[in-house]
Amino acid sequence: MIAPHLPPLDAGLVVEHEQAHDAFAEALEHAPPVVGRLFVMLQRRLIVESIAYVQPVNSRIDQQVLTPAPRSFLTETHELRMEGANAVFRHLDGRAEMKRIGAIELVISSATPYVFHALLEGPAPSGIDMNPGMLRAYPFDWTPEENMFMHPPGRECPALVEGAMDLAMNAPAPACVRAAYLTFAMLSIHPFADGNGRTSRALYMAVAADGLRLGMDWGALEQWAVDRTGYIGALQAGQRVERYRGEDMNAAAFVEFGTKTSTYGAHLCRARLANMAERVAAVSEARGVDIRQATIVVAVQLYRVAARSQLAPLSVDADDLDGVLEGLISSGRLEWVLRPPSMRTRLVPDEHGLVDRG
Amino acid sequence: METPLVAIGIELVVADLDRAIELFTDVLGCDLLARGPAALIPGETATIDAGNIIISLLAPAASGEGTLLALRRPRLSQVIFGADPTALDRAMLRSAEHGLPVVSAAGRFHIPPEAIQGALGERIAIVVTGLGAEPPATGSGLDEG
Repeated sequence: MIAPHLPPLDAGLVVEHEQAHDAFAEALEHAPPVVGRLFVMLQRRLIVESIAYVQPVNSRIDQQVLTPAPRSFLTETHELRMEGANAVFRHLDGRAEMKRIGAIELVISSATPYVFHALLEGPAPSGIDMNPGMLRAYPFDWTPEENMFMHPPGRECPALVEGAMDLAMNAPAPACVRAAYLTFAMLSIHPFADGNGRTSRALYMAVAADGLRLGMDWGALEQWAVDRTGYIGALQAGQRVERYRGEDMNAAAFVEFGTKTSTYGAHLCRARLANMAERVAAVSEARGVDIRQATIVVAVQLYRVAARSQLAPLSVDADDLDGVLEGLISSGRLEWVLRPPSMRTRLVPDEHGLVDRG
Repeated sequence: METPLVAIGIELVVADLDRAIELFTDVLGCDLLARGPAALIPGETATIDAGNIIISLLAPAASGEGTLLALRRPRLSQVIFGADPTALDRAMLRSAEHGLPVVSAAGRFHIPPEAIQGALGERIAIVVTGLGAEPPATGSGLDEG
């Protein structure tokens, strides 16, 4: 058995993708640093929700909310999936930083699928031990009403994963093409007992990172969650065979879907960043506070009831954050209240949070 | 003052439609309004007049043409509210502001079972439909998550 082949992609789509991400990188690099951190705080949350696939608050492709609220009423399974996805994001972020300082050549490595799977399945979100970081040894079949497609036998998985990783890391194609290809290939091989969707989406991030100026595709995965139907459709379009046969499968539809959604996501990120900058400026002017205070106020508005730990990414220094919060609380602009039970999670269990009092 | 939502129906997934109908009609004395094939998935449905609310019964098929309902175990699958257009819009906005996924269609919206499970511990869709509008088809697959 062989891995699916790497399809070509229309050069125009690649150019549009590059231009959209360059324009967003330009905007983020020129935004006030606190506004940039506010954007990263929100977008990181959306990416973690998307890797974990907890259904997004944004559910209409044509009417996306610029600043969606954090998902609430999460089940324990969702929380454990988020915990794993959060760990994956930290790993990605760390690898991107190591590449930026020249310590490594690529964000992706041949060990990445196993690392991601171990991080995602380590908390055992399904309640069953699914051999974190290990390929499956047994066959995997869907129930017929879910999916008729049959994945390859477990004994074939190590070589198939190696083949797909080789193409994703070394083929002479744009990173956006190789990234979406790897997601398609891994979802088709289904090499793990569970967590294949989460691992495959995270692998897209790792490969795409190496082709982007910011070292992070901030837009794509959110769009995959919003357009879940398109995501499944593009995947199944390349799997129109009864059982896995790499030579008969075609990643073209998924690669096109991945590139287009990444491009759209970059445009949305740019609009989101501009919206945040406008909101911060408006709060600063209307309330006579400086830009750091205004950014904290907007962050509290975005969380509705914000735990202190959720605001920490806005400041490079904990004392600095506490100083700004103290000023806003003592002037009556922010107030501590009980956080609603629906917001308390394993990652953010805080009983109290801050609300904006205007 | 905002008009509250009004509960107008529930949907039950059942294993045996004949027995379910017998319970509601012969035993409890409700009227059977309709019975026939489900609109969107293989299976059969019946609607029962339960006074203030309509009870929809869905017996999903285990085989046949079309997309089968993946989760076929008997359960309460939907709680359906009616609302005037203003109350419907406000409920939809409030749901999104509170961090719940909202799936909207013309004149109605629903919160998927996956999200409601985090509040109630069971996979139940909450459907809010405009009063006077067509209710969602029974077996509409809202529980596919």
